[in-house]
Amino acid sequence: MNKNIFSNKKVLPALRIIMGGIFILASVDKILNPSMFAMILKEYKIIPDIFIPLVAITLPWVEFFIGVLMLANYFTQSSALVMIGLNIGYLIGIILNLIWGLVHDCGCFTIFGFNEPIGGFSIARNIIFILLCLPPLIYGTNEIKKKKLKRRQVLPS
Amino acid sequence: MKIEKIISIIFMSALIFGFACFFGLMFNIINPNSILLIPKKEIKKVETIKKPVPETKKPETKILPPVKETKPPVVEAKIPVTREVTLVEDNKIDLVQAKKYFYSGRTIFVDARPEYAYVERHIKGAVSLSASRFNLQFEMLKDKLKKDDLYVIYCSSPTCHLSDMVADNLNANGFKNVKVFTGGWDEWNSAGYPIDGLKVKKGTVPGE
Repeated sequence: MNKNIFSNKKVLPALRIIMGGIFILASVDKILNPSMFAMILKEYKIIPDIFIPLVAITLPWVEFFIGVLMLANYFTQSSALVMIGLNIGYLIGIILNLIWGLVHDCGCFTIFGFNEPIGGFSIARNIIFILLCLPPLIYGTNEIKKKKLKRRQVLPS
Repeated sequence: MKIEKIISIIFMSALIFGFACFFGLMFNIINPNSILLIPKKEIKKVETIKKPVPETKKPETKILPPVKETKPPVVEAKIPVTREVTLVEDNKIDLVQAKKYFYSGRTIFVDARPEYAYVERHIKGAVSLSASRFNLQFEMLKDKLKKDDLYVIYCSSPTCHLSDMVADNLNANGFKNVKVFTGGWDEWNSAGYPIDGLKVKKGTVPGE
């Protein structure tokens, strides 16, 4: 009863690869050009100016690390949790800016020079990302020692 | 899910987050495009620009002379803040002045809004220098822009502060003759002054 389509052995890795890849792609350009990312963050007007450089430097690396961990199937649940948290943060930022009437570049995927304004599409995309992160959070694993222990148990016998 | 497991997931999330932040800070040291954690330079720029204004040249200060005279003696502890405010106020122009500059023919209008908004509609003859992609666009336009010309920066409306950001960036790049048109695109468009762009029908009266 507990098992459904999302706990499937093929669906779950597929979701991990998709979300891991997306987060790595989203982070690369921001890592290389933190000044541009800082400018975009400044446009959102939700982070105090003093903290903008700190966020611009660290946030892309968080995206990168959780993307790599998700792909490698290490700490999947924790990575998924951070992904959901980030996406909720982005979602709140976008919605608040739209309410305030501030329409500007999303800054979501700048790696291919792709710049879209914040709007309905970016909101829908973030919601989809949150939904895609839920199966790895619920059915993924956060333990990396299990496999090794099993091998050790098998060897003596 | 057991509570212990939930706690361990949250704990690991915090650990990953912390490690990534630390790694990011370390990488910023070796990154050729690194940025300063504390933006000190902005305050210095404001101070250096502010100093000559009340002493030597008056043409720039004509717009708001009483503000400068009254503020310094009142607030002494918050010098950087008050100076920043007065500097921005000095550069502000309204629709009438913007129109004068536009028809003088020697002014370059700069659109600080995102590029997609510029492509759709903009003030006729304006160039795009969006706040978020300033560095990239400025590199491309650098050779065409002369530092002696007058630049009028505009955004979408008086509440939009992208024009201030672009004005600061231009100032930092040595463009001292920069004004900010506070009314911005909305005011210009509703006044029916010349506009251009992909979504502007050619041969019709500008201003939609």
